[in-house]
Amino acid sequence: MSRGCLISLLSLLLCSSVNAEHSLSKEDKLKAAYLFNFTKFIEWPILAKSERPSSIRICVDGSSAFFEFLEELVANRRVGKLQKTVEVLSLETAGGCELLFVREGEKKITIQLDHTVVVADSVGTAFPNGALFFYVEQGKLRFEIDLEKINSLKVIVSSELLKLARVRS
Amino acid sequence: MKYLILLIILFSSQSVGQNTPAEFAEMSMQQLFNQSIYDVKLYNNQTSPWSLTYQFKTVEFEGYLDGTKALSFDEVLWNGPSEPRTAKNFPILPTLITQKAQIFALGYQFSPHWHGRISVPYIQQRTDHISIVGNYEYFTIKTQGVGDASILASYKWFDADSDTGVWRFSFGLNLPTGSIDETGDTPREPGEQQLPYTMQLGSGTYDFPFEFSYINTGAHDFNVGLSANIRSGTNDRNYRLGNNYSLHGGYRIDLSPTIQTFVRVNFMYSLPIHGQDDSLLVNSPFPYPAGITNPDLYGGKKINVRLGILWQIAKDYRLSLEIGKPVYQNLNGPQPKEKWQSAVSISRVM
Repeated sequence: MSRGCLISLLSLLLCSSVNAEHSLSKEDKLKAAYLFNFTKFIEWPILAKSERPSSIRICVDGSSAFFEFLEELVANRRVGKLQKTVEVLSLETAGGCELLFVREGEKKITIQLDHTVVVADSVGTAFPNGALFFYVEQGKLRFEIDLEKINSLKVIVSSELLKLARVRS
Repeated sequence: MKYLILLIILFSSQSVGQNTPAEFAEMSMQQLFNQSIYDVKLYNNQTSPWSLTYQFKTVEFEGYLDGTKALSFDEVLWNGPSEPRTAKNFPILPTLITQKAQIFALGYQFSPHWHGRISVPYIQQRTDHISIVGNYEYFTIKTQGVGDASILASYKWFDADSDTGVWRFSFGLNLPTGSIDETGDTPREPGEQQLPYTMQLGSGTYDFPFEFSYINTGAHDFNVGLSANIRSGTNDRNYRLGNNYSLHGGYRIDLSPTIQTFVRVNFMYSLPIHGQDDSLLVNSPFPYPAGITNPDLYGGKKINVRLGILWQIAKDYRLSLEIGKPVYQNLNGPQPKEKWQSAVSISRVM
């Protein structure tokens, strides 16, 4: 085999051509899918018409790759009894959100979180308003729920979701 | 070969993408619950359908077995007229056979179920000998070049709601791209002569490999399988290598999210060579100058145990290291016995 051919093959092996979608770990992709699924199992209180959002808004404090993946994931999908669309918003620009995903415990939040279900990246994310927390058990992604916190938000959580969650003590 | 690569590229434009946002959106809560987070072991988790693998394999043979009985070099080497010549001793004796192969493989995941792979080995072989022939008391023969290319297709059955088990059927074709006309200087006669079967780079025949296996990826990550390599016809030198059959099993343990260790046990049964390359014979009542020129002294049964480690060194790179040793060999002998084997491979999802 010629040296040139060998070098070409090794170059192909080593060269990097990763796009944004591909740079996400499977764990992050699963988190994005969980966030979308949470919108199916949580009902938010019906607000006055002027305050009522036209879609379920997921605010993301994450990498742009994560944002793009989640945006594509929810595109053209409708959830809940009202068959609302799901919208992904950047935390920096959002006026409000039904679901907020945070990675950093010390993130400064400027929006109102009255009925916002805050999902923390891990149980170690010490965000004060966290209601759902991802964690890994035996190589699989799970989530923990803070019942006290979520009840205070006046949202209705489906029993199906509660069955799968570990309750935070 | 280039047409096959073109065909794969053509198919790739019609393939089903994997791990797309849409696919994740379709997953139920229960399906998400059953998904492993590790990119290292799931069948449906590649970021690209293309993969490239480079593998370096080494296997070494030293010492002799007749059945399960170990023979010394003195017992297999015919020491001249002072001792009787039999069908089991020879004037030329390979003492150490080293085979190295660099395998380049290109894989493509056509769909969650179908996978294709083309591989081409580059082989380097070396055999050290002793003999009773003057000027050839110790000599070494080497050959190197491209071996037999292989095209393999795999189909997987799995339950989309769970990632605990996969059934896989693989089948393919080995092409006779490796040389069977390798020559070298041996004591058989002056000058360059045709080398024995072990020193050839290919089989010279179209062979049909297949495998049926079950892979469990749940709490206990194990696999079991049956595989075979069925040879067809005879090559231009009027022989075909023996069929190989194998029953294998393995168990993997997670050491960390990116590192796994594994143990594999492989029971192999190989048939002797069918037919004969007459150019390897000498004109004598005992026509085989060395055991490796006798087609009947190939094949047998072996149980190999291999230990290894899998390491997801980066998102798209996976390294595998393994070392193996036969724990049982019952060979059609006298035949050189396998001493050990090793393999290092790095694969990249493109």
